[in-house]
Amino acid sequence: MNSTIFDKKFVILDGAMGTMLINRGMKLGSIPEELSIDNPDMIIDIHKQYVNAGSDVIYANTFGANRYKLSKSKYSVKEVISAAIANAKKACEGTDTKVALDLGPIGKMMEPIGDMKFEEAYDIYKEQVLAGSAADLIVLETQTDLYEVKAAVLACKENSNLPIMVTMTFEENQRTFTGCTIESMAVTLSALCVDAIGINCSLGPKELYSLVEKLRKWTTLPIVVKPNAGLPDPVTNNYNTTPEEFAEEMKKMISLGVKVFGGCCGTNPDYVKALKTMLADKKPFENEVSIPSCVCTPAKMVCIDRPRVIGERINPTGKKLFKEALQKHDINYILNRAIEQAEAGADILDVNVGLPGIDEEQMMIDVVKSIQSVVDLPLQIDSTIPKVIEAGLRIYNGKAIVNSVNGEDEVLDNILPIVKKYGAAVVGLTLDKDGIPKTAEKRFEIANKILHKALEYGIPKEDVYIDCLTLTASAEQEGVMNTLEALNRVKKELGLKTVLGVSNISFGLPNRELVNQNFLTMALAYGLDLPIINPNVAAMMGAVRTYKVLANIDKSAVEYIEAYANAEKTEKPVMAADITLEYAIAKGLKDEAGRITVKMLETMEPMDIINEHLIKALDEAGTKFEQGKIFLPQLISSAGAATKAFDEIKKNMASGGETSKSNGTIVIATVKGDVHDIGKNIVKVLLENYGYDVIDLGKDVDYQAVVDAVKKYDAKLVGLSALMTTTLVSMENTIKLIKENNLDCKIMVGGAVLTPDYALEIGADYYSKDAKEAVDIAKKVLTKI
Amino acid sequence: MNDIKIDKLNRDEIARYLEYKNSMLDEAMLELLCKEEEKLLKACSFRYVYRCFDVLRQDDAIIPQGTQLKLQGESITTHLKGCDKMLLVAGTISAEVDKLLRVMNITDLLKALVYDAMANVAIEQGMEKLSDKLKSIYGEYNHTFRFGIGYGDLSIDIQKDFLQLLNAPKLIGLTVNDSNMMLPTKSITAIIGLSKNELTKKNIDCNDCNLQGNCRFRKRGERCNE
Repeated sequence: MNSTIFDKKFVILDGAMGTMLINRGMKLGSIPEELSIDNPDMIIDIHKQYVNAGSDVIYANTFGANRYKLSKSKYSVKEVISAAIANAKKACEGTDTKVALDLGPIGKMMEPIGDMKFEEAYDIYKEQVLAGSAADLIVLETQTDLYEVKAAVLACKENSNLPIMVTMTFEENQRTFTGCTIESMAVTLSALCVDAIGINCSLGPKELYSLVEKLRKWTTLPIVVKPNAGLPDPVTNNYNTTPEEFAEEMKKMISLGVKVFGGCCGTNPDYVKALKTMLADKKPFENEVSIPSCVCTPAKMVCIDRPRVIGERINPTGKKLFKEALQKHDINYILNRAIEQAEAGADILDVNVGLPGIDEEQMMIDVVKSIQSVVDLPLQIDSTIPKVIEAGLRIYNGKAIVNSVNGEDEVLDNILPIVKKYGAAVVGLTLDKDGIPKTAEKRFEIANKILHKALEYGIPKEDVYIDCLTLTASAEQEGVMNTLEALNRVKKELGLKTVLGVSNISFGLPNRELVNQNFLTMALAYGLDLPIINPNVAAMMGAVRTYKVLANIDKSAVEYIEAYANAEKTEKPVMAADITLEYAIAKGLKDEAGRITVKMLETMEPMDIINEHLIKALDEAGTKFEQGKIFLPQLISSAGAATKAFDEIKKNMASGGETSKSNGTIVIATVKGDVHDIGKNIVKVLLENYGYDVIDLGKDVDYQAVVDAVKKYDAKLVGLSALMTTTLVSMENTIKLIKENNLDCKIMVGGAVLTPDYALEIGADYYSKDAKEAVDIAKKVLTKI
Repeated sequence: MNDIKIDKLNRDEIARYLEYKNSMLDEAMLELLCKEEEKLLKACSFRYVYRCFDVLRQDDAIIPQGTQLKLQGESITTHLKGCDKMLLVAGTISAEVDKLLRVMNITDLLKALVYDAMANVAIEQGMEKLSDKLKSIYGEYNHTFRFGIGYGDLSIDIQKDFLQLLNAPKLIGLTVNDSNMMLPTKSITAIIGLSKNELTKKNIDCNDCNLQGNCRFRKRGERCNE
């Protein structure tokens, strides 16, 4: 970092702009940034007041100067930002005060809560950064979504060399609206190497104290605090803290290591003056903390201060159904593996989507984005291809792990810069171009080399994890202890965290679980921090939990007791002997349906079970639903039980090398702009039950994506869903595009606000009032005569 | 603001959203609701924002005094007839609920349906409590029912400006997408008229609604306001 404003003893920022403008008669609902052009004198005057009051940095009037918020403005982003910075510079003339390009949130929700893509957010910020190149630094403030901040930080770093300061807005529960914690913000942004971080707005200085207290434990960067003037009165909107009280409260922040002070909503130049006076005779307080090895998502911090389980199940190696899911882009299959592992107790999930014939880079992006929309666990991006790793890290929300590099120079030089740029931790495998060394000594040497290379690239020691590589006991029995000895030395002598894939140890031996479990326990005793295992195997999680008790890590065995105290009570009830598959489906008894199917598969052909039992039971549920004898939840229960039965059949066929026959392929989607997809999901399950291959494109689907999928999968039927009147237009446009492309497929539509007439009007072939009717339509369209 | 807590969810309302025609939930469903309600309520955090404005009537529009927001159409004009003031309100049960719904949509569709229904009831109950609170704060007035943005001929296109005016994105994390769909999804915006005189219309009817009777309630012969 070159010398910046943050080298000063203390830095004083300005106070509110919005409050000052409203006091001068700005109408609510107008665009404050336009005033930089329409009334520059007023803006310059406000800036000058802050400069005179003692601000070292003033924020240009650019908070909402983005493409989205200015969509109805008479001015462009560039015009507004250039004018705002020129005004601020003018106000600073003859002083040392610096001008910040001030970037507030875009104002639209990002994926997964909203529909603004990471890449779109990046572009919006990039436009602002380029327009604001005349500023002295860039400030991202009042941010609530760490993902948006990451897009913004990358946009700043890739399009400018200016210092970056980030402040986010937290609620009293110490989280932002999107659930981001203080520690996750601190760790992620420190790793992304911004220049200062902190908290603004939210609350008054008094209420912010405990938040800052937490923040200082998680960063060594300069800390910024820019609180409101206390809390607002709900009816009058006036803030309750005077400038003197404000400065008095802020004084307490000095001992927390705060270096950058300012005011947000409700403050004015008097508050800045009071800060200036208060800080005049104070000395800064060095914030000496050591940040532990850790990875995170916005909502979850995982410190590697004890054994942490990395779930290994998101990986196609040796898994037929997983490979099929990748080929069919069946993201839900992968998400189920993620949720399952999270529920089983994994701390981190490894994500490997490498498969010949697929676009691994795009798949990594799709899978990482999808996983982080449903699971809070940090991810380990697992690939050897630099562009796949980069694609995954770029759109990852938080601090991730990269799996992996090894001792080869070329690999280290290709991948470590990416690890550094995106602020990740990295796994180093103790092998090089000569393969895996036999001796512990040699593996230790490679680990040492990886560490030094990482340090050279600016990656801190805490973020280097070493994998000493498990060999197969049946083939290289003498190598097992070498692995553990190397691991132990890496841990003790280099002080690094250690990783180990465990399952490989038992390859070729009977009762593999027993071998895995014992090896895991041994490895933990030798100092393993991050076992990569299948968390769904009770014995493996049991080994980790037990170790934590015996090694005095799980104090008073709290976690252990929580995991096992109620184990007996939750045991599955024994199945009544006389339940049939038809009965289980009618009653929606999922587990029973699965168990009965397994039993039936012992004596019956899969297709016979489907045709003679499953479909019959489903038909009956459908008829009852039509007759109003059962309701939607019961129909779905039945469909869920049938799905369970199908899953068992699929597993059985896959193990025999067969694949189930398809009745035809149907593409379904919730249209562009619409995010309600439960209706579509219900249709999907029912169609799948009736043996159709359903390509589910998800929600908020681009028109072109539907067309592309119909072509790619040669689908003869498309189902489109829309919930809102405002998204019916998207439905119409999608249909139009399908027709323009002369695709040989029928279109069925459904959704709460649709009517049969309207469906025909917009060009659909069929209107489907519910999921049952969708099946009837599919039968009509796809039955081969 | 976040001082309103949503507690027990109304079972009859859930039954309506689940499309049980005669509101009788079966035993299995009741059991499921008992088990899952707590999880939904834990994810809910009801946040709201409101502002009171004088009603300014211009040629073709009603304007919250001192703002640039134009409310146009017969429906809103009728709604605010005789009102001197209006409350603009917005509430959400927040993004955590959307996440829970996403997970359920992947792992268990029945639960997804049930959680969706519970979430609809939760946001309604939150808004109902807010309405009561506002009735006591603005006790000297008679209050109209909550007129939703997009009801009748009031264009839903004002949703973004409406939320911006309330500073809802910043204060409660409530935004819209380009289709004017609110995000987080379980959110409500509305206009409540305040009048010193007796109000004639007590409740919403199908003419007020943007679905104009073409909704899931009417499709099965019911009404949402019953």
